[in-house]
Amino acid sequence: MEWVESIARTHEGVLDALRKRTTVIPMRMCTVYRTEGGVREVLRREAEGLAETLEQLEGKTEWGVKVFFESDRARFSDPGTDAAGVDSTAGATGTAYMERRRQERDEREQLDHTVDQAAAEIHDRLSSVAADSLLNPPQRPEASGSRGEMVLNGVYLVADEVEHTFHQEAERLQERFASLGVELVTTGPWPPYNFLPGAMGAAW
Amino acid sequence: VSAETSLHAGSSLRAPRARQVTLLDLLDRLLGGGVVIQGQITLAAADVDLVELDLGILVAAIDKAAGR
Repeated sequence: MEWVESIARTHEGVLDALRKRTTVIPMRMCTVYRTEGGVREVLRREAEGLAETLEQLEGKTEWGVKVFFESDRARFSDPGTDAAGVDSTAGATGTAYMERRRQERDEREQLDHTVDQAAAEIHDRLSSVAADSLLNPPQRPEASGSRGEMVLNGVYLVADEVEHTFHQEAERLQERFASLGVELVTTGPWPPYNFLPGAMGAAW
Repeated sequence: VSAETSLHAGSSLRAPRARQVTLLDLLDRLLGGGVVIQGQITLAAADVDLVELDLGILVAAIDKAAGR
């Protein structure tokens, strides 16, 4: 895996350096041409599509925004349901216990629903600033570490002139939804891996 | 170089935490995105063509190797 990581970081390093100077069409990792002639042939054959793609991508950058939810981070508005669970009015009866459990479950379900809505709104807001956007499947929880459950894995193609606005919007959304236990993680700038036209994607 | 930034409410917006981007994010893009031209891929890892390799399996293997 060290081998894979070193190849991946090198690949990204080259594209990142080029990205700062010009528009880049990223190719999948481990795309290899045996000869310079092979490169020339593909460039000639695909010239029209490549030129069109370059035009569409010019002045735009890909950013990723992942949203994580961790219920332990959520700040409930009702202080009566604290961790100790002591309820002075209900007494220690079985009915009171069941009632409290039911209430906790309801609150948890409602929080999940609210978080889903928040994730949808985050995507809508960021998409409205972006030139294009896509939702990727959330990464598996064991891969994302201790940040909690990934509830959004969005990618956004952002024009350079509104990049600042895009990040400001992300910061605003983070502040607005922090009390739900939601954390936004931005990655980028990326070459536009997720925004290559269909004709140049996997079927090219 | 690409970075990962956490936007914590209340933290200074001018000094977000930036780290090197995770290998998972990198491979999601490098193996899941980008232009593919049929028949041009020759590099292989442990005799397995990388593009034939299911990304999920690769990521699982990386997680395991990283002890997560």
